[in-house]
Amino acid sequence: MELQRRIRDGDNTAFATLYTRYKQDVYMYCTRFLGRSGDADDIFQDVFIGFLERVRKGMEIESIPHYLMRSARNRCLNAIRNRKHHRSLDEYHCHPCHRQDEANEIQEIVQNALQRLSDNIRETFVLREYAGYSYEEIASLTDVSIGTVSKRMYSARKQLRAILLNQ
Amino acid sequence: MNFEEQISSFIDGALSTEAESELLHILSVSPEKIALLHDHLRLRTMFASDSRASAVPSQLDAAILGSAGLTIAGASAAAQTAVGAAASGFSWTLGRLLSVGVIGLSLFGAGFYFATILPSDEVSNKASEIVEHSASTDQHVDESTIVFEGIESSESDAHHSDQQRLAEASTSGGTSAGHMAHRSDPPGTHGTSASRIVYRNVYITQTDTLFVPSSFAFFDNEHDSQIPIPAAVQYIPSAERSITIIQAPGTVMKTTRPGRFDIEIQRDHIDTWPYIDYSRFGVERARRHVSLFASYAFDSRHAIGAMLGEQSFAMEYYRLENDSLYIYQQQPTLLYGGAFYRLSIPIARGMVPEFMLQAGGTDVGPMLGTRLALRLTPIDRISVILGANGTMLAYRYKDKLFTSHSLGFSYGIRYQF
Repeated sequence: MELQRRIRDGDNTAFATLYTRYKQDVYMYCTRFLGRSGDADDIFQDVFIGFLERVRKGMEIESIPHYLMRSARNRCLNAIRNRKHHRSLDEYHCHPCHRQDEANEIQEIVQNALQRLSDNIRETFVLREYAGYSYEEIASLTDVSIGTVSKRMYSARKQLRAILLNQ
Repeated sequence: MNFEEQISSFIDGALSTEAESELLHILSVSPEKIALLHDHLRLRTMFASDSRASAVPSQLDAAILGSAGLTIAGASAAAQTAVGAAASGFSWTLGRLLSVGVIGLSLFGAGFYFATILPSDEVSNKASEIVEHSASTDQHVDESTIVFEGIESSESDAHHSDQQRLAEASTSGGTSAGHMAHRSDPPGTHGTSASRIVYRNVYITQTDTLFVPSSFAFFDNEHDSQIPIPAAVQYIPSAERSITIIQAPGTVMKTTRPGRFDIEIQRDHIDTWPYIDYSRFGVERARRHVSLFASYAFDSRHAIGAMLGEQSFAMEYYRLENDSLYIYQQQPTLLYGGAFYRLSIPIARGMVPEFMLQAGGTDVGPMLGTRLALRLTPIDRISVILGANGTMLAYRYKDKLFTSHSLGFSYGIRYQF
């Protein structure tokens, strides 16, 4: 609340502090959920800029990390929906370019493996492994039960084990 | 729930205590199940390394912060503030306590040093105590304070001394003369004693006239000889009587050159370790800072002092939360203060190598530093210092201790008062 008040009062360093605090979690979520595409970077930007505009307009946000992650999630889900409808050749053409730029081979392998999971399972896995969310937090964010989260985590690990360790 | 599902829940800490015990038991008796667990742990390692290797690109930082009207440098400063606040629990307690401790020890060392190099002062003080005691009191002198070792002067000497004292008294006049005249005319015979007071290694010799009453049992009129008077003789000293203090032969009066204060302003050019993603912060690894030093030199070699200045440190630290690894990087400029000891080794006129050991504290933790330098003194009192500096900072975050280092060269100017 204090940071939000300072942002409203025009203290830009307060936004920088907040951004530094949460950017890594949001970025990891966007990039690992959507994969290394331009969508993730755009959504990442939109999340923080949207947050800044809302706070400056006087909106009180109860839980900043929850708001940021939910905002990122909604935008990512929209992007996935749009992607399925408008999957273009560019995406496939760009992918090898990213691959060439990728310095870390493990990152490349992990990225590809994640993209082979279904959206729900991948999202749950990313929230748990990359953003450090607990089962309860994931359940609250994705509007499912804790049992479902547990099932999805198991399913994700089983598939990833098959993809990454048996390939 | 099958076994792999149990492992998944176990890894996430979502298993009940009973289920966990059962799982561990199964693992202890089944190598196949252990291999399965190891597979999942390997997977976690891969994702952790993927997470560590992925940072927000600097262009994204610039775009987002730019939309808020900030530059990356401004954001970095804000981040410094945030992390500094996180580590402040360490700063206001241990860091400052350590600084106070170092300064206290330094002062104690200085006091001890003075105590050992100034014996002559101690002796003088003791001697003056005796003088004060003898000159100020009209009471009988305590036997334990002054000890007469014997009467060594002859009758003629005594008479001469007495006459001389009477002459001095008559010229000075006043109560002193009257007092002396009254005391110089006793019913008995008088003699002179040369008494010597021994107090440690200082010999206080005084010449005094001792009046012995006729009834004094040990005085022999017939043989007109000097009889040693035992130490317990009591007499009334005059308040105006002077006492001569003579330094014993062989005792060297040790004098020390007074120390010199000096001040120094120093400019540091440093590089920091560990390496962090400088491009992301938009800052340079090489930093330049200014420090101030004030010291007191006991002699040409040893000096202690206090210091105040700025220092940069690259900070990279991590925390584990919910089985995820978070890495933080920053390079803040910290204000530091502390004490130092400086050893100078004069090898040539106008050119003195120096070694400095520094201990102090910053906002986030204690620091230790050294400096090897060469002092050039082209003009009396003014020196130019060229040196190489190395500093280590310890800081704590989330109950973990981290260290950071800076290394570089410095130059400064020093003025000696």
